Amino acid sequence: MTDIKPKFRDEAMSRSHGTSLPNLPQSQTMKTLPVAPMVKPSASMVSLPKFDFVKDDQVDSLDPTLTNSSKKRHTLLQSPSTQSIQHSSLSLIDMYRDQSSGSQESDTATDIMALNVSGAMISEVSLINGSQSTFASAHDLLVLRNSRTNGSKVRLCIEESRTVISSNRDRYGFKKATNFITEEQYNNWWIGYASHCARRKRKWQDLMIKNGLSLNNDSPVRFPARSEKLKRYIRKGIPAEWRGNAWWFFAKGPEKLKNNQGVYDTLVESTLHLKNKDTEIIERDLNRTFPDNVHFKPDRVDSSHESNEETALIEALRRVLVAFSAYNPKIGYCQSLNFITGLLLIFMDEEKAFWMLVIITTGYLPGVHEVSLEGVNVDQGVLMLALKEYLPEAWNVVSNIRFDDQCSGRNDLKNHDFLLKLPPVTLCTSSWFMSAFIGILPIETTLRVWDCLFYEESNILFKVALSVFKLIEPKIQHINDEMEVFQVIQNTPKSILDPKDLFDIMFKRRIGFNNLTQDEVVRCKKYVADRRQRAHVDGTSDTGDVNFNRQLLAESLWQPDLYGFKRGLPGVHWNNNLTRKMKSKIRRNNNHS
Amino acid sequence: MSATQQEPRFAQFKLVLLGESAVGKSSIVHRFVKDSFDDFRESTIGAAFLTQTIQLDENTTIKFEIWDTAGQERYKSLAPMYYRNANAAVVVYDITQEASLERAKSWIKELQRQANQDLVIALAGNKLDLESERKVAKEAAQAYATEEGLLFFEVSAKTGQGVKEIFQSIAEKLPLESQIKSKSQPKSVNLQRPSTNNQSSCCS
Repeated sequence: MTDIKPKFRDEAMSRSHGTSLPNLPQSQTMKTLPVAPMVKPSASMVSLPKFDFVKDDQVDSLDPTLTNSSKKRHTLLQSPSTQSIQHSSLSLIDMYRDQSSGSQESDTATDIMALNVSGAMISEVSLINGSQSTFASAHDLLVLRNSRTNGSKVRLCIEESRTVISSNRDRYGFKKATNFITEEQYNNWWIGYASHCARRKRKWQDLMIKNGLSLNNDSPVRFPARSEKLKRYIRKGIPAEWRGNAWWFFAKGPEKLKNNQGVYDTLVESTLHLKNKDTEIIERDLNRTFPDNVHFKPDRVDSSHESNEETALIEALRRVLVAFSAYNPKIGYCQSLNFITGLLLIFMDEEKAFWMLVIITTGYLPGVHEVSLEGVNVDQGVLMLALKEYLPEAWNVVSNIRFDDQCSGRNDLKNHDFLLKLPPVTLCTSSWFMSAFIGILPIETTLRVWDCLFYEESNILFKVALSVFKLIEPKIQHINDEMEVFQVIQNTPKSILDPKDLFDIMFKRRIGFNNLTQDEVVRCKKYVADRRQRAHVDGTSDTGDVNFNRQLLAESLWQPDLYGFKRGLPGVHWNNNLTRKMKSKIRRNNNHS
Repeated sequence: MSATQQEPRFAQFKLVLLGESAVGKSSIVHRFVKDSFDDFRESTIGAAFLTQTIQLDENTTIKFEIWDTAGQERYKSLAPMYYRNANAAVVVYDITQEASLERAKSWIKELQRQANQDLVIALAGNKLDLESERKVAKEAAQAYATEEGLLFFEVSAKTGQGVKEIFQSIAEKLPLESQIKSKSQPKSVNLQRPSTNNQSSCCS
């Protein structure tokens, strides 16, 4: 996928755009952003929820137009950061900062206050220019800018926050308790994990300093060059407040943005009032994205009203998804992108989130969200092959579950016909890839997977899937009822609260998933895609079922060009000498790739 | 159902939920399985699998294995996997969204063409609690259902109204007797202990 500059961008547009919408994203510029002028809320104006970390007594001076009810909301919709200030004595450890954080926050608030005055003037001038735009009215742009500013504020306060035992939410605003994990279990685990995080943070700081990289006021934008050591550090977790920047850096976001300056802003302005099938489904999904996260759905304090108000992140989510649907019509909107984008927005501003979405859907999950969903099927085919290769016992159980009586016997196993008509277990595992494990694994575990994903590429997703199956394997060996197997497969990952349980399997040499390298995954994907394409009669038929050319299937009986995994060295006794040899070999390989 | 047999009977059936996105498929299932409701439920990606057992009469227990599918059009190509061996299907529409009934009709057409001959199909209009916003007349949907030989219900997952009845009526219509007798098909009917409806047997 190449980046196409939208053609609809005319001269006047780009000029007005340049002044009326300064590039918001850089974390550095955020604090110096002019806050848009306060306008008496009109009936048509979208009301903007506030998440800033301003103390109550500053509210009046900051925003004189706030009504009593919204002032009340101010105090009630406390972000985790304000909670953590209040409960600082209860905070487990002052994880990433010294005790001065409280004053730091009010400093930022003062900054915004000071800029509010001068910002108003600038904005008014630029809005007159903005009104020339045929795509968005001055009013639209004002609302838009307000909303984007608020989104940035939310993110700032997320970065400042930390998980507190006394809160029922975690540091990202998610409810700690799920259907599979109690709050107590969470807190018990968190005590240990918090000190792990603090320890890793110190290691990271040392690493950065050794590499001569700036910590940039705890928001580093550059990270060390690729190395085995860095990989190890990433596998043990990137510090939570660096995540957005680190993902952006390792996924090569800066390059992408550099080649596409202003494209996102133009897209947003031109799609403000877009209405089509995609936007319809996006609208339906906005409120169904992370309803358990306070930044997407605030705690309802007063059950009757205010429930219809949108949070800044919901508004940003809409803009990114709509802009993306216009940017990549081959994908448009696909359910599951809402979760990927939602998670990105917790860690980075919306322009970066947009480009990350572009990078993820083309580089890390290619074809997975396209209308045909063929990318999902290919990934599932690869997973099935890998399962067969790496976990034959689990494969034995899941490959014997059949919905379709016609399709049985061992021939299809031998000839990989299961790649064409995927086994029913893929009904459970498809969503693992579509959402890159969001909602499948608990959030902290998902984030650790994402850390690795952007550094090590898509083979990580297969390794995670295999590791989950490794955990499932002993549980399904003795289940008689096939359907119970589905329950176990579906529910087991949701209980992996401690990332260690997963990562210990994933990267343990003895288990051997390390052999599933990126090269191997790419080769395997090609094989599966090819097999499916050859057997496929011109796409899906009008019945919605997938038809296969039986003749071609038969052909494969005498032409079994089956996929063979490169063998690792599972039987070799590992000693330090071998380890060293392998390490240097891996290093060489990495350098090549 | 005849209660002539004294021995406890147990049968399990596969059921699939289909319909436009955001009509309330997951909400209906959760009302049925957990008797709970959330105003905001996460959109379903791919599909979710849940089970629930109901007592049909004194002697008869039925376990439903439910595939709750994602509603977006592009997931349609995955649907045959879910309904291929299903015994029952609940096709859901939203009484406040006219287009969702059209979508339901196209699902029903596909099921009649592609799925099992004996598939029991129920058409369910959800969001009865939003009566004031109704766009689909009950009579029209009812007439269509009768014509096509479907079970028909209007329900509210929010209040719970009518939800149990869907599954109850489906259970009554399923060919239980013949299935219980034909023990040669252990795939669709297993004589075994029904699983309890604890948390671990449901997804979220």
